[in-house]
Amino acid sequence: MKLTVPPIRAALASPILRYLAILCVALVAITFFLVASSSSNPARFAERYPILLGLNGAVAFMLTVLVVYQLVTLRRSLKAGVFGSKLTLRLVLLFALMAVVPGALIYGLSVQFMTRSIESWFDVRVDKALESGLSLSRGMLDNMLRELAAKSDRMALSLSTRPASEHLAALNTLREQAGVPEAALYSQRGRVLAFSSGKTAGLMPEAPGPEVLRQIRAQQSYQAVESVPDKGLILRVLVAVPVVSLAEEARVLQVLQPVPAQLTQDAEAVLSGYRDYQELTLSRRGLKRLYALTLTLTLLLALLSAAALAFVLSARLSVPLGELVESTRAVASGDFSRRAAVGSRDEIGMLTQSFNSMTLQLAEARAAAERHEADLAEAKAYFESILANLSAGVLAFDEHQRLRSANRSAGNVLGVDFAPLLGRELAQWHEVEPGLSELARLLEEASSRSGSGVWEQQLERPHRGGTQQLLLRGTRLPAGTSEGRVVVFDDITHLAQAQRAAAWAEVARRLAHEIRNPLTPIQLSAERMEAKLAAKLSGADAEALARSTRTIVNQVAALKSMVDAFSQYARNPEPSMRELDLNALTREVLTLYESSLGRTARLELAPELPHIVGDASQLRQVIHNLLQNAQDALADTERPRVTIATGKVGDGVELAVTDNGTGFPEHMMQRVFEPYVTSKPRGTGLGLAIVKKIIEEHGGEVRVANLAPAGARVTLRFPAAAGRDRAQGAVAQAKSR
Amino acid sequence: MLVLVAAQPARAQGIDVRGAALVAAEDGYYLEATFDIALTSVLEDALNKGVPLHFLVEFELIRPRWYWLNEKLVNREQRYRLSYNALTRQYRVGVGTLYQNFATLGEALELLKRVRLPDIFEAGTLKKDNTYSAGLRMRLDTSQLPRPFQLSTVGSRDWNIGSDWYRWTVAP
Repeated sequence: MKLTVPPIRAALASPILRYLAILCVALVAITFFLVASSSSNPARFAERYPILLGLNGAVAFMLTVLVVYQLVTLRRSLKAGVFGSKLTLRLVLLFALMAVVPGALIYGLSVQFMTRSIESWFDVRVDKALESGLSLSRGMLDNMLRELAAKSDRMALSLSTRPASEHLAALNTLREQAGVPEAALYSQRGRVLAFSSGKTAGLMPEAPGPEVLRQIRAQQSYQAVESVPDKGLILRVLVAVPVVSLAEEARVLQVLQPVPAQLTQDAEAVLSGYRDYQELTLSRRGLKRLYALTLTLTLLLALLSAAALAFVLSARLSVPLGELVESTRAVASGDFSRRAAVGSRDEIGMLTQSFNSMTLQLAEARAAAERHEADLAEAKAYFESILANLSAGVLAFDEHQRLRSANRSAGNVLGVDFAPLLGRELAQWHEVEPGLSELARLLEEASSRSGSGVWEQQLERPHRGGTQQLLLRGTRLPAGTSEGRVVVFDDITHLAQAQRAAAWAEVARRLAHEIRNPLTPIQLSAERMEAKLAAKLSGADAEALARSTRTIVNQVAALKSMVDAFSQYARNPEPSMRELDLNALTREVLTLYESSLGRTARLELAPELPHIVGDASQLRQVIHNLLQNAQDALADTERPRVTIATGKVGDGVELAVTDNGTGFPEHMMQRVFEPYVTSKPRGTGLGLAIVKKIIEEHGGEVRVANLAPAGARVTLRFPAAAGRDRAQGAVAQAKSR
Repeated sequence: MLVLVAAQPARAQGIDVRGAALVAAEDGYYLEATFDIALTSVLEDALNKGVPLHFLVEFELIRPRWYWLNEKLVNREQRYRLSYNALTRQYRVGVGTLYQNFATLGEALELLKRVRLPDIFEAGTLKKDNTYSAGLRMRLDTSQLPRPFQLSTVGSRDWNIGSDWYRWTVAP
């Protein structure tokens, strides 16, 4: 199972979100720069406040997007059951809680404190005091204005009694008397008629506006406190100069008096204090909102940062765990090569390290087990190959006499396929393989008889037209491992034959030795006896002596030839092997029989016969013996015929000698190659024995067969010279037996 | 030469352009405009407590171009400062360094309602066979208010008074 990439890492890996995070950091940096650069200058701070607010809002928005995206991803991975998502959720909740609780506490306290402190600025008493100060100032100014108005009235009254021509001088005098810094006389239309100014006065003779003049015309006075930039407060009073005669033009007197500087300052101070206070009162709500907004934004930023950080931190925490899980799954599925990276020195790192060492140990243990298993398998294969290549047949039975296994040699020796017999009881074998019924019976008997012991028995059974001798050994397997028994058997046919041949050779050698020695004296004595007595006897006696002597000599000669045959059989000269042409050899031998066989012999020699490897003199002996046998068999035959044929059969060379004589007696067929087995009245019975001995020494084989209606065939088969190594191998094998 | 557009109905509170015209003089054009100005109670309260109000009259003359961005020929701003002096109990309207005192708010607003901007552009600015678009508006400049107010003025109907752009076509 493949573990998906942890969702948090995936979330951060998303390029848009990464850029968003980078942008957030950049904005926060800008904000910090702005705050730091303007914290010493309140005016600049106020100027940048909207920018800061916007920046923070943008940061908060982006953080919100980030957190929401992460939450959505987390929810998706929770639903999908991705490993580590629950841990992430818990960590995020924990971090959020850690941020929310103190943040909310501080926030609540701050808002409360801020509201209280702002409210505490506003006090009814302060309000009252400022109002009173303001009305005090106003009252004072009003008083001064009233005083000035009274002076103006007096001046206007005294001016009205004088003619217009004296006005300028009178105005000056009156002004001096009244102690007013500036006075001016205007016509109804606002034209200056007279102007008087004190030495300290720098006031401009400001003309009254049309509104004021209209007011004056309506028989009303105008009095006002005016604030002139750079000149402070100025009291201005305009009064109409009473008209004595109707013909006279109405005039307006304007009197200006500056409020003393100290008074102006104090009044301005009161005014500015009042104004600031009123401003503050008006902006109370705005201020509260401002602070609340700032605090809320701060709280929001802190919370969102904490949440975003929580995701990152929990991802950092859960990534090694995820890797660990991935590795665990890999180990569970049998892959020990995975190693979780050790990223930290904390407990998780230690856990990872422990896991890695555990995995290593597991891998080693499994490798050892595999090695062990391989060793076992190898050993098993080794034993099996030994069993298979054993020349002896091995049969294993379970406790119910059922065949459990049989090696290859068992089948080869018995000429039977054991596969259908596996798992069958001995009693059923004859149903499947009738040729093995004898063996099965013997095995049953042996197992019931021997019990737990080891038994050994020989069995002779017909096999491939001959008799096979088997040596069987049975043993019961020790209890505890697997109940049952094992039977090992060997084909000892050849061994028995070899033993017999060796025994006969010994007999022949002794016989030859023991008989040959007295033969010569016997012959010599008989001849001497005839020579001595022939002259002394006459007639019938001499005739009898001569006949007897002849008989003795003839018999001795026959004995000698027999002894020669024996010694030849017993002799075991080392064959001198070389490559030779069998056809040439056959022709060479046949020339000796030209006279005796004559036209009865026929050669059927195959052209281009492969060479064989052999001892020429020994092979000559073989062909001699075969031709001799044929000749003997044809003694009483009317139309004798001998055919000598050679041919290439497979990778070997065959030589067949066929005659139409008497053939082998049927009872002798089994033992025809044993010494002293003969059908001929004067035969030694060694001819075919010698043939077989020589041919086997050449790695070949001999077969005899009777032909219908009459005759016999002896077939020799040699390996071709190309298979020389094999032939030598066969020789060596034959010798080792 | 004198292009006048019918007056719009006055609003209960706020500023509206009642009418505007460009008048050709000897060496240039001057603008004559009339506004309806009605301060909200919040603004009036603030004014009476000493907060100065800044009114901004903005004028622009545009030559529309179909193939490119419109060409802005003239862009002029005029700022009026309306304040109240609690000590002298007078309203003052100031333009630059010039000022005028009024005993009542109504008198002060009367001055603001009739605006005349001289030498708004030279006589050669307008070319024959061309049509131009003139725009005018007046609004309260909240950026000139004391800082604490600015936050509470954002999005507030009580504080943000101003006319929409009043546009008319000028063809010499």
